[in-house]
Amino acid sequence: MTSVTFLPSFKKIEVAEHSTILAAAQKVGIHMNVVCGGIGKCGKCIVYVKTGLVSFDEKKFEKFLSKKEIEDGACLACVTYIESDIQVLIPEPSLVQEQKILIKVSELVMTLSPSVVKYPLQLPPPSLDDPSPDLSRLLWGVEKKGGPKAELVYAPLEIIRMVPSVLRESGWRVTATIAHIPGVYRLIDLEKGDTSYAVYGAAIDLGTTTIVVYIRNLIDGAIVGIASNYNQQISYGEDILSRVNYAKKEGGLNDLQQLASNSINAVLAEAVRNGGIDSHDIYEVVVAGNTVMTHLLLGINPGYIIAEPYVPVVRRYLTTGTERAGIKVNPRAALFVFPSVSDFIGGDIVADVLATGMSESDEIALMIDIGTNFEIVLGNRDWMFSCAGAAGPALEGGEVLFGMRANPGAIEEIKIDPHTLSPVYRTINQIKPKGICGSGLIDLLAELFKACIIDRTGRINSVINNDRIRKGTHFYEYVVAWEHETGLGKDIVITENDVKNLIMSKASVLAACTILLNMAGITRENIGKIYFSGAFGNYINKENAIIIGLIPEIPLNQIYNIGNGAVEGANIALLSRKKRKTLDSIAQKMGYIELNAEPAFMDEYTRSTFLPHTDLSLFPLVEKTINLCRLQTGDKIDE
Amino acid sequence: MVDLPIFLFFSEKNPPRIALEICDDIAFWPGLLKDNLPDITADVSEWAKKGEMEWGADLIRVYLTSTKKKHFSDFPGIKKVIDEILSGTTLPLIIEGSDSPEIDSDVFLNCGEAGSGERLLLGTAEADRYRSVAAAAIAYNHAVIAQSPIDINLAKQLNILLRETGMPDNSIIIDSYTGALGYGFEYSYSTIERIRYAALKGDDDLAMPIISSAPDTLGVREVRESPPETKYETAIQWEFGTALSSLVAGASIVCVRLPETIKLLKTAIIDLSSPSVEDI
Repeated sequence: MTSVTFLPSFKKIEVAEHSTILAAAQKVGIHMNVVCGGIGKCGKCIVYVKTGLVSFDEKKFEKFLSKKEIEDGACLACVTYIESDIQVLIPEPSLVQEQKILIKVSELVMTLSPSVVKYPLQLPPPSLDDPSPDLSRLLWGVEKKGGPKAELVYAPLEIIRMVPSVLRESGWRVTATIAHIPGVYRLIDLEKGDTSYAVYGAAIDLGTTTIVVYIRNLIDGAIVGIASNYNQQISYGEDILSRVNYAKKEGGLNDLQQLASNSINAVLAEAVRNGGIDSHDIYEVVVAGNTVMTHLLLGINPGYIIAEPYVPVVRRYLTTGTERAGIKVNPRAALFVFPSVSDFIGGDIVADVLATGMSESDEIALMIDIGTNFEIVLGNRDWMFSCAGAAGPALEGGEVLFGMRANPGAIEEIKIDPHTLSPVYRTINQIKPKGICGSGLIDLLAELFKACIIDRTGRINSVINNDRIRKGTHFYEYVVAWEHETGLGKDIVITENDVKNLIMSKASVLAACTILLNMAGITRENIGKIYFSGAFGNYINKENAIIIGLIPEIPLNQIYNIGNGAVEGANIALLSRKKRKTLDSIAQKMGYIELNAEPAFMDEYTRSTFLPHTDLSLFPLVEKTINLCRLQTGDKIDE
Repeated sequence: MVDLPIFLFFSEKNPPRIALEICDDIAFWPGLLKDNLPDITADVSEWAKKGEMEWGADLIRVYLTSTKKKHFSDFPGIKKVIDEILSGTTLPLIIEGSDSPEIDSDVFLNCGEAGSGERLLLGTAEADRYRSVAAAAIAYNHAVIAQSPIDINLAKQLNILLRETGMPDNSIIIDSYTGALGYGFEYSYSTIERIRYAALKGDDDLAMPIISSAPDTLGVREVRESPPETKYETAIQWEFGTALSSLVAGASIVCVRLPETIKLLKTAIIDLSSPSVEDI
């Protein structure tokens, strides 16, 4: 065994010799950036070994670290092996940080019809004239108060055991809690006195990366508490595939199930604290998550989802007890889990659809959820097509030299002066720039294009004579921020390679949209609305998204950000039983197009690896903008 | 002008053309030619002249292989070579410049200047290096070959990039890259075919003639491993088979290196263009 001390926190842990630094960090509860799942490919887990011996393959570092940095002890935590007692400094950028997580939910305008109702009762005590049993007396009381018919209500044994004492000790003044579970009513709680004011539900977005919890009062639908945090499963890799692979290991599924419920419990506890309520009064939990997250939370083996023919275990919504999934609220609270459509179209997407209202409208809408992967739904009340694919991590800052998540210091907005080619930018929290996040990258791509610094394939025009355009170690690059502006001790640049990765990412999204439109036999003119769901969509500049050809061109005022559609959909389902009932039909109605099996996809993808698209007539406004920009910059070949 | 391939039954216009590929430094050329035609390959202008007078080529395509020498810097020499060829032959000339980006600009400008007043076809523009060749072509009113890796969309994109630098439509020739027969040729075939059909259906970005050259043909395993006495004959057959298939797919210019192949192709084109079997 060797001991590892992490700086600056001085957390210490014993691990077996030849463990990776990353494994040690995970063991001690430090969450590091591991975009690639810990295989030395993303270069985000840079640490500095201060004392002690480690071993590594220097070749693997070359892409991310300079000779000087390696001499200073820099290495990638995931592929560096501990050989003696060591001290390791983890610099801030390598840590998973408090992220700009989207938790805003639009005001819900709808009739409240929650699934859990509390009935305060004053029951007549039994007498020789009225000797009916305790339970019947209780349920008749509920019925008289406008609740369901007594014979339709199921009472579990553990409640029946409570009935005689609670009724008598409270002087026959009690509150009964009835849950409407599909097909049946269920008596889930019995309390002394009138507690009818305390009935809450939780709506949860269980994301691969983050978890968002909303607690709502089920009497009037008001928001009581909100909280969000990371999904603790992140320590086992950031992407879905690494989670599924881990789940396949012995005990892995169990580990991940527990991490899912632990993560939910941690966020729930915070929301409960924020709301100043008792978690015992949460009687229902609604969870919208992607297919794999849903499986993991419920402890269902997700292994078959990722292998041909990619089948999930269920395609309908699931109701069970929260206790069985390890979620700590009222022990008899129901857990409602959104239905999934396919391997990649999960409950989160069904929730997005519910949130957009597109499933109730005649108008055709295109809903795009861009995160680690992208999911797209096209349709209206009568029909729906969906598809999903890998956009690659570039749009979220991965595989881009100075890409980063939307953490403080990330450049989130940028403009380039077409004459001087100098940028102005804004960072999150207005501190010195550390890197560029997704929305900043989309701006940057559009601005580079408009300033004619890159051509339509994304190649930097090296003929331009400007300090900011130069040849880097491997590629041509554009300097976004000089060393003295940054908090990094080096220039922030975007390389031609970064631009290509971004174009490949945007191309897969646009190609997927086009395939769905072609499947439906319609064109962009038929699209009434485009909805962006997810944090990514909320911060991007819509015009720039069109200029680079991330989405089909439609008028800007028809493009909406629905924010976190998953949590919004979960909120709707929590508050409205009627809307919840439509979920299964949305899931059943939604056709799933497997892009990999679609021969036209590759062609469409190649057509889309161009700014904004090979066929400029599909982007008439972009054409105008670009022509205007070309006039300004006077871009033509330098002879 | 775009027609269906080999659609020449009613008119004589626009038959496919055959280009003879030659080079200015034989050291960088397949050994097969050096071994079998030693006397003609030493002098590039003589080589070109022979192509025209004796072998019946329609165009001459000169590869400036001398630029492949390490630290090449003899740019005036390029002009000399081109001047010599121009004075030796009346055929249209295709000039293949350097294949290293560092000297591209100097090589292409010298090519362009040397052919000033003529209309040369300069090669080769690719998506990641098209500016130098396009600049030279625009400056001296030449045309360029636009080469893309066996994909109709990439071919289209490169044409758009070139047009956006100011290249006129009638100065672009598409080279969608041709693999040797038996070595990926079927991909090239379907790409040529798709480009041709897209043009016929009205895609302006692809309505340019296609040039096809499959230099790997002379080095395929079947040729390499032939017994010495049939090696040259096998190479002719392979080159002929590849070039003819390209023509059928829709190429307007096919490039070959062996004199015998030119004759075979000429006969084949006449045969294929005849209105009926009886006329053959």
